[in-house]
Amino acid sequence: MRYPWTAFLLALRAGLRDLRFWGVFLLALAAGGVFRWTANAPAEASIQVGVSLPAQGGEDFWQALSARSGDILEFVPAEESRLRQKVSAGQWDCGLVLPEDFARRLSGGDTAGLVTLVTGPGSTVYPLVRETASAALAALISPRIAEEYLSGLHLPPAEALPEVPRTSIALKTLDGGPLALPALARSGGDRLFRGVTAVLLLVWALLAAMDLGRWKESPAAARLRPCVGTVSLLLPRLLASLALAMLAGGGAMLAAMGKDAGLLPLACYLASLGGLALALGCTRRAWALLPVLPPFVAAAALALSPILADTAALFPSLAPVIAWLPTTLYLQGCSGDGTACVKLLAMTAALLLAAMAAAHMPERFFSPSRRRNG
Amino acid sequence: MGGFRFFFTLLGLTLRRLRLLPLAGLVLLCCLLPGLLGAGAEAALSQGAAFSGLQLALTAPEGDGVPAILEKYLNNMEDVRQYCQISAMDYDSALAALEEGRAAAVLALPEGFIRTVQQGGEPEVRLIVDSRRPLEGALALWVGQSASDLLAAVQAGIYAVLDAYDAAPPPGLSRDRVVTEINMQYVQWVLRRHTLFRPESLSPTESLPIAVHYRLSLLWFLVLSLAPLFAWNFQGAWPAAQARLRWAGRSPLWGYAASLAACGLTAAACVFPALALWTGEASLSLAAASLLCGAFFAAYAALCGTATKTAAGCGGLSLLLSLGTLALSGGIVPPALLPEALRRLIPLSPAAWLRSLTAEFLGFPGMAHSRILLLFSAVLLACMAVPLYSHRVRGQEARL
Repeated sequence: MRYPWTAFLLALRAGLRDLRFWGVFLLALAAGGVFRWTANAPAEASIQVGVSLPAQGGEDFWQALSARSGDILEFVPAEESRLRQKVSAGQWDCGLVLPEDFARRLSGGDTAGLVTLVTGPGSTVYPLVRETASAALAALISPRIAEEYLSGLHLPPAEALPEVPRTSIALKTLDGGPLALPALARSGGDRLFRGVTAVLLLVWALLAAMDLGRWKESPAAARLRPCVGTVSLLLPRLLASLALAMLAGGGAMLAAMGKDAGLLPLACYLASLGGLALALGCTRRAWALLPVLPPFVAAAALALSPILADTAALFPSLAPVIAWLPTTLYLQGCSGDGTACVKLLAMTAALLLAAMAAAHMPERFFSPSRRRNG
Repeated sequence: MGGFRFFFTLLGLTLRRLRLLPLAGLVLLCCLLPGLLGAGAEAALSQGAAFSGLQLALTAPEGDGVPAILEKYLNNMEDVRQYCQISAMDYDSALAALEEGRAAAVLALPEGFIRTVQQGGEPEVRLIVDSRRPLEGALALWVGQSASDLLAAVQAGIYAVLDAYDAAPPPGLSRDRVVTEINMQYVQWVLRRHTLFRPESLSPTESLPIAVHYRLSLLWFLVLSLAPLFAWNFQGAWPAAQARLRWAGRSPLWGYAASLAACGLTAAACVFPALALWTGEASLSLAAASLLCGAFFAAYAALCGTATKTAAGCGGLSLLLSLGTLALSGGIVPPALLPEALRRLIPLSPAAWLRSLTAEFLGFPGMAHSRILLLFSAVLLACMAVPLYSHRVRGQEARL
């Protein structure tokens, strides 16, 4: 009988019989499905600007704005509360809010602060929106300026302003070709989903390390250790845990991204996490800290890996560290960088060696201090 | 030994059992990680269209001084400078600047542009862009069309005045003077057009800047996650020692109180340096706030420790609870993106109280009654853990 294979099958079977695994698995599939469904929603092809109009009196202004809506920038009518939510969330670049007494104030010349220009942290084109809104308001205010001047000269006001042809602007490109519409849809959803999945798998690895430490101290493991060695004792259990993690993580990725799931980088990433779990499981001094580590490790991975933003550009002094994080290498591997998978496997080998070294260290290096015993 | 002396003896013993080195390492992480994640969250939530302004090259036929005049006046207008920097050049230099990327677009004015506009003509302006940078090109065209609309509105008003003057010229008032005066009226209005708008800045994290919101949220999430480090106070051998002391007539609640005090003091001592560093002050009120937060943490750790049997179980429970309270406080998905029903629950989240209390020391508005809510919930959690602790001690006593 081969102990490693039998132990692996037993551990795998126990894991597959655990209802908590199936709960996590179904949750992962559901998350992937939801992500795929939201990612497939048609993305906005233009920069959007919300406009909150009064119940009455803003029709001319809206007409002038909507005439300027085009392929690059679109004005969207909305309730003020929805406009504020969209702008603060960065989904719309900015917003224009007209007061309920817009028409009265316009005709009375009370135009200071007439329109509220609402901006958010991601607003970049709001100065241009302001110019367009100024032009729309100019068409409404110009008659009053002329009327006031004429009344100063005791002349009757003009019935209507004459139609003035606009200065035409002919667009040409340097190379003579057409000007294609810019791609405005933000690409970041894939990276965020992969990054969060990677962080959750990292937490899974820490929990696996806790489990390995507990198993190593169990009476059954203590009896087997002299026969098979520490690493051979822990490896089958670890591999079963990694197989379950691959099932859950791979399922989430396949549900979310289909053929772009990146299962090879995921496998290499899990291998590196397995090395980490084994090294921690073989190091008794780390066991006391393991219950506390998951939130810190998750926070560190989120903060340093390029999941939320380009962290190497944000923190240039930490760039060498960031480049060698397993989550960073996993994301690079998913982007098609083949060397990232090689680096992950090299990291796995190094961690396996560290685990073997820790397993062969004399026990006295890992004995907890007597005064901390119960 | 009197009761209080016994309490302080137990407190000293408890504090001496703390493993300071790993605790110091974790506290250091509590100081560093929130700052990093806050910066990352700010960068992630501040992403907008990739537009950082236009460099516009203005050119006209040789000898025409209009580009230089427009460069001087338009670059002095602050509202134009926010999105556009204009440089007057000759035609060949302008095209070279466009090709090399120093200019986003070239605006080529025809000969006698201003004279044509004044006479009511239709000058033909060319906008030359680089197809490799379509966003800048499209936005340059867009703002040019806005300027054209503005000019048309102004011209309409001027022509209406001149038509009215021509129909019935007032005696003693020359047409040139009317042209000058009405043009000045409209020029002044154009220069003041920014006063039409009242700017208002919104943040997805509402009252706090994004970086501060996430920095404080993560700090308290990590501090609450330290509960497993103190689980030994409420599990295993330490309650067993309290069970033995019952035979000597000592209530185990003295041990419980000593454990709470040790956890609270340690947490306060860990949090105070981080807050002092961020706020730049080390005042008594900050120390008092740290103690209050430490008291809440102690009660929270007591409940997690007494509700579970092992440090790993305590870690799992505290992780789930702290993650839940973090999510409820808008510390994961920002408050502006939460559904309305969940946003109303933010004031019920302990993480929100902790964040609000510490935000006040950074000069930001805090939540009303956060101190009272923290104190009340600390007392409530501590009381909830008492029967669990007593049950554990009685169970240890039965095994002796």
